[in-house]
Amino acid sequence: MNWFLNFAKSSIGAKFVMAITGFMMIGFVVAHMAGNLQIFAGQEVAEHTETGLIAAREALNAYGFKLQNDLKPLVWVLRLGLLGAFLGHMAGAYRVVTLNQKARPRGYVVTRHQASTSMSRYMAWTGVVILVFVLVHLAHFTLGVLSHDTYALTDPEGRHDVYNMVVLGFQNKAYAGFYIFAQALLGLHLGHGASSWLQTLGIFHKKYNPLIRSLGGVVGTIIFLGNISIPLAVLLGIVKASGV
Amino acid sequence: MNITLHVWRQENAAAEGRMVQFEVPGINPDMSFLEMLDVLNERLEQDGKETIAFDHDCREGVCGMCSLVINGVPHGDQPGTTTCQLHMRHFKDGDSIWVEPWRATAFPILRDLMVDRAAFDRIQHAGGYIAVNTGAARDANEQPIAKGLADAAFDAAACIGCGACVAACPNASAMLFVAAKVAQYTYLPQGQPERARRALRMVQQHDAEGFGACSNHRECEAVCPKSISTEVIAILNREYLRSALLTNEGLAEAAERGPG
Repeated sequence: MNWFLNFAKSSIGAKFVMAITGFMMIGFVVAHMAGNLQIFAGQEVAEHTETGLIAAREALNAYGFKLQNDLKPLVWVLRLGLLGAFLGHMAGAYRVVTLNQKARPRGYVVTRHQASTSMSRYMAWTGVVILVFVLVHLAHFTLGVLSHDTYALTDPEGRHDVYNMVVLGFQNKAYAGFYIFAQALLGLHLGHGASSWLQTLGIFHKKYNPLIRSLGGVVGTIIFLGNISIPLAVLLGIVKASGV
Repeated sequence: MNITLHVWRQENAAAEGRMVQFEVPGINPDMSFLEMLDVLNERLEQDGKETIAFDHDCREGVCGMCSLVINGVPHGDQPGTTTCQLHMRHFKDGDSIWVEPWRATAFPILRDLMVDRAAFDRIQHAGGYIAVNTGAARDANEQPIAKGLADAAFDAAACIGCGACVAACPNASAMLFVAAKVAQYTYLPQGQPERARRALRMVQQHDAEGFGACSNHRECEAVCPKSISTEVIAILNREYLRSALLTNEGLAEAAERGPG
């Protein structure tokens, strides 16, 4: 496989690895967001009683239970694939950034950009913040290291109470603020990446370029708005704790 | 018109450079940017001072020798123009103009505003050619080529190898240059025999010279004096991926070199 290592280390090969893994992660981010938005699905069936909000947690907790039980083998396959994509994307990024820094160690006294955007020029920086966010997010909601009490909650059916863990988690303004900030950077990262990966794969056509070039902005905006809607809804009191 | 110039001065490749300010009064707006530098150099010479070294040759926008990053933009901010065809009338009386050399590890500064662009020659030698039998020249039109393909190949072949793409790229990548050279042959039947190895070897040489990787900033097409589109970079990416992943190219070299 020496030829493949040589390929992956080349300037275009490293970008190819980043494009493929980036696309895989876009797929994950979209699916993850769609799953999480079920927090709002519970609001329709919720009943306000004297003791509080009932049944709002049903949809999200049932989804979480299904993922962690019925679909467990599939989830683990996807998790391993996602881990591979993450590591590949970071390795590619490290290679590209190293090559680029060596290529121009001394910059210009005057620089006036003609076509590039802040999104494209700060990919490495937004990427590093997203990495930190992912680690915090895993410790916060997936492993419960940062939220022992709420992580241990169960609903009356004995299921892991995902709904209340998320709602109580985002009632902490520092966490909610950090999540919103990280999602803004993820949106900007995708603003360039979700278009750029197609050019890296050689997909360029005058008929489809308007579509390809607007894809980044569209995907980035949808992911940003979709994901921040959850902490925002909790902060604004639209989504409330259920049955606790 | 009167101009204040800030010019990068550097004794030689090893020396530390710095920006030096020059007052240049009495400039004719119809002069090209290079003619303005000629005037300044004549005055410096009369004063017994070192003249400013800069590259130039044809002065009609086809040779690719002139360079200069002018106020932060390679070849200045007139689109589709080389520095030799940039005229002083695009500036205002009293303007301050900042002039710097191309900056890239692969383009070492020789002196002042002159850089060594031999890296481009070595990339060309690695694969930017076709095999043609010697003897009498063959008839130009013996092999019919569709007008659209001929035009596309010609658009890519318009590259004059000036290196503005590298100078403008935030990554100092030479992808637009390599891509133009690969694309011009990819479109044509004459380019097919060496097709698989061309992309692979030219990109290998590009990387070995120390140019950066493309991040699709598209600064290069904005400053290219021949307005070459980043479409050619997509073609290069396709050619390289095809070459590296779908042909036997690169196998022998990998075996020779061993891992890493």
